[in-house]
Amino acid sequence: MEKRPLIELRHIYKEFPGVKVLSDISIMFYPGKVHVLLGENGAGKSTIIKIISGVYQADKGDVFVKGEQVRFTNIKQSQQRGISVIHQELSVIEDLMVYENIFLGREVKKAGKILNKTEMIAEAQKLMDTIGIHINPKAYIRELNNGEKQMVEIIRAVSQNSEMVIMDEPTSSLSEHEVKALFEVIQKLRKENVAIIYISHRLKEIMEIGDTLSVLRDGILVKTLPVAEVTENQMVTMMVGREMKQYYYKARGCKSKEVVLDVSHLTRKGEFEDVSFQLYKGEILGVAGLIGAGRTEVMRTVFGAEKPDYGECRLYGKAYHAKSPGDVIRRGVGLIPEDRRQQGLLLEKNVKENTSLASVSKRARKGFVDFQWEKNASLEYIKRMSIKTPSEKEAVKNLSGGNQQKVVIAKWLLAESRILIMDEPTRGIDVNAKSEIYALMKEFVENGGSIIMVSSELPEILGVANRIMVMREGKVAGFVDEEDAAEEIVMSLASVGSE
Amino acid sequence: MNNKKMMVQSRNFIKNNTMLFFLILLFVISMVFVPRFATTGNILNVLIQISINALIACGMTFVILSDGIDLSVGSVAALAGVVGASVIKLMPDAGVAVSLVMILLTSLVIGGICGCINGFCIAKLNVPPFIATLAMMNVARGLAYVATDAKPVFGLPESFGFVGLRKIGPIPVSIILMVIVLMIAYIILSKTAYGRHIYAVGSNQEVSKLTGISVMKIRFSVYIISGFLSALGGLVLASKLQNGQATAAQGYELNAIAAVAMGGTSMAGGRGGIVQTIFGLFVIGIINNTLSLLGVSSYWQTVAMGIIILIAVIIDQYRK
Repeated sequence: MEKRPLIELRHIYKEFPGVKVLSDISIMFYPGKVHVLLGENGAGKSTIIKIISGVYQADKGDVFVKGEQVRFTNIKQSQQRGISVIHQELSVIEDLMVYENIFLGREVKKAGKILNKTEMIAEAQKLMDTIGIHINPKAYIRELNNGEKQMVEIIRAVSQNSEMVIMDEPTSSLSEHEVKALFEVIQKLRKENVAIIYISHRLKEIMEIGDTLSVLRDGILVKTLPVAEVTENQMVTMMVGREMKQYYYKARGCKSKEVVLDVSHLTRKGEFEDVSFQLYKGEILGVAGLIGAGRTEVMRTVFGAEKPDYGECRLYGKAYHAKSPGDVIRRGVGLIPEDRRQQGLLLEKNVKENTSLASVSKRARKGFVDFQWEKNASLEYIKRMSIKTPSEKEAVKNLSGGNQQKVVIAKWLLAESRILIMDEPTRGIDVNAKSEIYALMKEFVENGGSIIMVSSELPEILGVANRIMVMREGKVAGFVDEEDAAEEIVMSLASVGSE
Repeated sequence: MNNKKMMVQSRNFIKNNTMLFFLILLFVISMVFVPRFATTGNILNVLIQISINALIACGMTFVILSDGIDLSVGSVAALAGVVGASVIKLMPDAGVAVSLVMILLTSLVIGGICGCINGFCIAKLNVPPFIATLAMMNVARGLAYVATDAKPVFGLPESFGFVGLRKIGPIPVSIILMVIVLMIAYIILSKTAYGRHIYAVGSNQEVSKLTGISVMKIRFSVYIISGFLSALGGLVLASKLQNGQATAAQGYELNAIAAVAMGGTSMAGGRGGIVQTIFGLFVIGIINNTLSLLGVSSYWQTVAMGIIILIAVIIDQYRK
């Protein structure tokens, strides 16, 4: 029986300034099928979702819903056509009850204005019974665990008579048990003839729940095929099997074996467990893993922004118990955080003030800012790192992502850091700026510095790192040396484990 | 093309200096409607009237720039006033120097203690600034009543009035004090690393923390500064009135916040400064003065003040 697709994308193109995000994407999504989108970060999965739900509009190409051409310009329009998106970050309101969340914004009323609570509660109960979830409609969201919260979101989606439910990495914050429950719900939705788009990096899950698979790579659709016809290994190959671009700069990776940072048995309950690794002088240590593997949390703890439950860190042989990042910074470590806009930069402040922020106090004379030094230093780094800015007095919020990131790096170079922890240093940055940042990293380590680079982009890790640590579910899954590094090895360590 | 550019530039200039234009406009209007406004005597009057609020608003600027708020300033001022008056009363023969030392010491002790408690609760215990200082507002006011049994402390030595009532040459001492405090505050905020860190913490605490700034110390310290300057303001007030009363400085927190906000310092921290606060102080001072000269009752002045605060904040929102 040839069914009609619920949603069809035809030759979709999308470009952001300087980056082609999607080119010539044509996919059909059928009712009653779980359609998996697979690809590395930046492959274009979320852009596809955003085009379907109306957050973005395609530059070229058409979207059809049940054969009818549509052009959504906001989320509301797509919702009215029965499309709901469940985002990775939960969007339920903690201080409202389950049924209030389900009916938020479209409350059932009686006599015009008064809320009909009885009916909403009954309706919520009915919805849960059909799907087979057992949550008290009158429980507060804050009393639920993550899995249950996710279920509430799903029920909210279903209660809007959604014909399509899009799930963006729904399992990234769920325990194994919760994942099972989620899958049961997905099975029921499938029986109800709902079309499901499912995004996940976890290959095992995809094998278990997916019907159809579309693999994306660099904005191009590699292939759409039934899940039953592929193996996990084939998925990995399809996802990463690209020719390496020649824009990486690999440092020599001096084999001095002088340990600068020694982390042993570091643990923060619920985040990561028994993490041990060493960083050598003059190397770039890549840290690979899926989102939620605990990489960022480990780095923040090493940096002193969080306190470990157990374990020890040593810098240049000396153990430290940092009360705050200041203690670690004074020992010569700098952090380039994963979210530069919220954690790395004072957006309203200018390039000069951001560059000098970590050293202004050290360089102050009797507490007074040395304005001459500050100006000269910022001009020097603008020149040295070719930061594109009208002047040192420009607010950093007006700079492009790549130039913003250079300002964050300049801040630590000016503070004379010897170790840089870089968390997703090139996220959201165009190709050119990426390449410049790799070059800076190479220069830094070849002058005796050391870098830990957390990245979710495998080609980047393989292209830049001298050694790779792979993390999975809060634990170190293994180390891979430069010579042995291959995408398949790292990917399988990150998603399947070493067994 | 050139014209267009000039228009954009001038629009930006107006946008960035709204308060300056507002102030000039206010000045002109006052001069037109109130002939007596632009006399030296009256201008000095305006300055005297804003001098106490200036001290308190100065501390408030530090707090607001760090993304906090201090509601306890009026109560701390009253407490410092009654404590200072009670102490100086024990020294009927005190000279000017002794009086000044007493004023400074009382400000440091009372303001310091109240500020430390605020700072500790906010920076260490993570109590929201609004709540912590609201509590202090009640505690300090209550203590002022308890300490005096709600009776004004009269019979102070004449030297106690030096700061509030006397002049050095033609210029009242309270104005000189205000200028000194504003200048020091300006220098701290715009020229020192500490000042830079206050702006950083107010802009984004997470960024500041990850850059190695001790967010805790910065947040702690601004409440101590605010406490000290509020207490100093309270003592100048006591000196001016020649008594200490538990009921003094009612609503001063709002005047101080109004001056800071009206100048254009962001209530979310990180943006603004002493210059803006000075604008705010003048706007409030001139409006009150002009309305008084026009014979508008003080009740209506309060109404006008409320409306003006609102307008100022709306302008601030619009500017963003």
